[in-house]
Amino acid sequence: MKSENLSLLIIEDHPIVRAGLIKALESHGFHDLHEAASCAEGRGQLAKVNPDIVITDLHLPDGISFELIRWARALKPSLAIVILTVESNPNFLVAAADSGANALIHKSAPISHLISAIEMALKAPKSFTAEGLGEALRREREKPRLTPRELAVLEQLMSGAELAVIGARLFISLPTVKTHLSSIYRKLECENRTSAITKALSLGLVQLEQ
Amino acid sequence: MLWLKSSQWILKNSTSDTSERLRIARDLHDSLAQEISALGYFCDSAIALSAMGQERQALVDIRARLSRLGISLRDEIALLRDDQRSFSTLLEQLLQGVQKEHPLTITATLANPMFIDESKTIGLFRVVKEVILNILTHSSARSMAVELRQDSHSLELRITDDGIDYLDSDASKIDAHHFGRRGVVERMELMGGTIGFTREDGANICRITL
Repeated sequence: MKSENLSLLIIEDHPIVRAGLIKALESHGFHDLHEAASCAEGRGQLAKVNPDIVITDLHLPDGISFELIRWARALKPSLAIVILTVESNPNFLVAAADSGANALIHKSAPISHLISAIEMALKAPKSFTAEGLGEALRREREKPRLTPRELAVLEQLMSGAELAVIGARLFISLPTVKTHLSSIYRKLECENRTSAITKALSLGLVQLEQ
Repeated sequence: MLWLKSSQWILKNSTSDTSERLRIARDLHDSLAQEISALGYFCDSAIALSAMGQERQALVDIRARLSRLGISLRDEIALLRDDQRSFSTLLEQLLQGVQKEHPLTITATLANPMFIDESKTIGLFRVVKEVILNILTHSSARSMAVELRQDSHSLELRITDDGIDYLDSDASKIDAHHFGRRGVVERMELMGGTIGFTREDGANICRITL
C-alpha cells in the first residue's frame, strides 16, 4: 500500500512535536494526516477519520494512552499503532506490548525508524517491536512473584505498623502475618524489614506515595 | 525498634528528595526533550528534501547528534525519576550500555549487595559516569576494569584503563579532560569522599572512596 493512500492520525499533546512529525511524514509521502492532542480528542478522531495508522504519545494530558490503544485495537484489528515516547521505563515497554500497540519508538529516533515500524505494523498487525524489549521481558520474568496478600503485608510494613496492627488491618492473625513475612524475606532474599522494603522499592513491586 | 526508625528514615528522605527530582525530570520531559524530538523531525524533513552532497551529509550528521542528545536526555530523565535503583544496578546498566556501543574489553568486579546512602547514589553515579566517559572520549583504551569494594564503613571504587597517559596527551585533550576532572573532584568533596588519578605500570587508575 502506498503511503499517500494511507490515513494517519497523530495523537500528541506537544504542538511543536506534532508540527515536526507532520513535516517529516509529508516529506516521506504521507499526506492524509490528522491530529489530536489528548486521549479524548484521539477517540473522537479515530471514530471520525477511521485511520489506517495511529501514532500516539504515551503520556497525554488526560492519561496514559494504553486504554485508548486497547479501544482502538478492538475497533479496528488491522490498525497500525505506534507509540512515540521519551519514556524508558521497561515496565512501560511490557505494558505497551500488552496494550495491543505494534511498536514503541523513542522520540529521538529518526523518522526512518518510525516509518519502518509503521510498515511492519501494517504487514503484521499482531506484532510488537521495541528496542530493549528482550531485556525488559527478562527482567519481568526474574521479578520475585509475591502473592497479593504478601504485597498487602509489604505495603503495611512501609507504613511502619507493628505486626499485630498489620494483622488487625488485614483481618489475619499474628502467626499468619509472620508466615507472610517469612515468605517475603525468602522471595526477596532479605533478612530484615528495612532491606525488604528497599528491595521491593528497587524492583518496582511497591511504590512510594507521592 | 531500629528497623522501624531506619525504614521511616529511608521513606522520609526518599520522599523529600524524590519530589524535587521528579519535578526536574518532569520539566525536562515536557520541555527540552520535546523540543529536541521536534528539531530531529524537522531535520528529517530537511534531509528528505535535500539533494545528495555535502549539505545533505551535514544534515545527517546533525540528525545523528540530535538523536544521541535525545537518548542522553532520556537516560538523565530516567535517572532523576527512578531513584530507587541501587548504585550497583546503575553501574551495571551503564557498563552494559558502554559495552554495546564501544569495542572495549570491560572487566567488572562489583560488590553485591550495595547499600549506599540514597542521597549520594546519584551523585556518585554521575562521578563514575564522567570518569568512564572521559576514558571513552580521550584515552583510546582497549580495556577497562571497574572494581567496587565495600565494607561496613566505606566504599572503594577503582577504574583502570590501558589508554594513553593523560599527562602526555596534547594540550586540548588535557584541557577537556581536566574540565571533567575538576567537576568530579568537586562532586566527591561535596559528598565527603575523595577521588584521585594516577599512572601506574602503563595504566591510568582512578580511585574513588566514599
